[in-house]
Amino acid sequence: MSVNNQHLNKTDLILKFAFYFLILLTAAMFIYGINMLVIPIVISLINYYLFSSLVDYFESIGVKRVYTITVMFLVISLVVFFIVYIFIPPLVSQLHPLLTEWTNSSDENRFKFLNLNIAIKINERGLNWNEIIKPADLVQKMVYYLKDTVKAIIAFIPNLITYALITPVISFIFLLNLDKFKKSLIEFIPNRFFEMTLMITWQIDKQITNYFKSLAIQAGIMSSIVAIGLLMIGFIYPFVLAIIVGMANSIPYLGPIIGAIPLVLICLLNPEYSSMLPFVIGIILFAQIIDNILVQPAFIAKSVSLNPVFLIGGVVVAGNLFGIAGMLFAVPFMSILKVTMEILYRSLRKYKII
Amino acid sequence: MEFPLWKTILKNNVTPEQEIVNFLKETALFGKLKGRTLREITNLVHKRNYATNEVIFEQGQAGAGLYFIMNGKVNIITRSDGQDLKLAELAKYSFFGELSLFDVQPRGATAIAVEDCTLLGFFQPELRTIIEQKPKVGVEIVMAIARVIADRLNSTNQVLEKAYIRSKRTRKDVSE
Repeated sequence: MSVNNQHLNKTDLILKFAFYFLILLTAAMFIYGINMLVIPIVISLINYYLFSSLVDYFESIGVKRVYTITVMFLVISLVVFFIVYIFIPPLVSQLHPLLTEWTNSSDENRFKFLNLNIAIKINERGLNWNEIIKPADLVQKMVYYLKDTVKAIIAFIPNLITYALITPVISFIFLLNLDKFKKSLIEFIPNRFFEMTLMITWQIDKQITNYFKSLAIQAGIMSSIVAIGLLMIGFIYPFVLAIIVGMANSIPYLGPIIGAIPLVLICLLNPEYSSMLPFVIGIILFAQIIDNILVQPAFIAKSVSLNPVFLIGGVVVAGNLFGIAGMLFAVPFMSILKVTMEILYRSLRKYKII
Repeated sequence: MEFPLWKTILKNNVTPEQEIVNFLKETALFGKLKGRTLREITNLVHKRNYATNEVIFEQGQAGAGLYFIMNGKVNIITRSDGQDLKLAELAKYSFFGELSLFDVQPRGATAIAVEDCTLLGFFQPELRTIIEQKPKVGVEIVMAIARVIADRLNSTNQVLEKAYIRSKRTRKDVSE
């Protein structure tokens, strides 16, 4: 009898293992098969965490989810249309001849604007820094890099169009139905871990929503301050540049520098705006002060604060692997991982599993 | 002789959602709620199956919410000083674990399936979600639960009162 029971238990175990293995295999094949959809799905998930609270709020005052999401998408589409049709064509038309001129002139080695005569002795023989680093070479490399980046962006446009068509559809479905989908997924969890999984996913969900919301608020405040500053000094493309500064600011430590690069480059490489450099730096510094003193303590949760060493390490590794996008997503990813691990550990102890 | 057409027309087409609504109507907790509210709850509850002797939750474990018994029987047992004490055997339409809906406090007792059971779980995340998304429905649900908890508290108070008076009388008799 007991042998029979043991045999049954074994069969049960094998069946369970096979079941979960098949689910994992299907999921892996699905992910492999929909490689093209990974980026739209990730963006749609971020959209879900950013906007679900807004949709929930309108639902709480009696507006159906589908109406809120439709209106929200119409507004976002209008904003994107506005940016694409009003800012991008003049930006490209202005950037293209500028880049061609820079690359040509950099070939001729006529770069005078970085001929800085700051005498910093960096070794015993009395060499100046600019004799070793050679600003002209540096600028030449930077311009080539910029040109390659622009070329890569242009080559990416077909993919971008596909993403631009698919992402709104997936975002719409997520905002409308992801909760139900999550509920059906959770039904697969065995009884023993069911309550714990439910609570963990709920807490993680809340943390991620709060995190993305605070990031959006932080980026919005930063962009607004920089946009007002740039408008006041009459700088080129104040809104687009301000959005870049605000978004880059999400990358800790390196973000403010990355965000400032386009502004500083425009000042350095465009004689018309070179006199504005001190003002531009002043605006960015002012926005940084406001961000560090007021915005971050108020909106960024302490629970997602990470050790600076891990943070910089993670940002550098992700940047190395996936470029600027990697740097942008490294911090949210690490924060989510940290929160998940903490909640998981606490819950596993509370539910007497470890 | 069979009449497939009549069979189809007369067939009782109860959807799983309707089945849950019908079940909830019979429970003491949600029985008095409006049909619309019951349909909202139906979208939130989790239907779970438990085998005979399977532990639903354990005493001391963090709790997440309450369970309704849709089918089968459940034993509620407490363990104190190494001894098990059976508090109740619950059957269809009963519910248990309602205090965990409001706080992740340790479960006060263990729940074990006496026979193969189908339970409907209603948990904290769902309650919070409905309160945030549909406050009116959320308030109705919370009020229904509060009523039942208040009833149970009243009965407990009465039992305590009787026990106190009885013990006082016994003490008086002993001293006399």
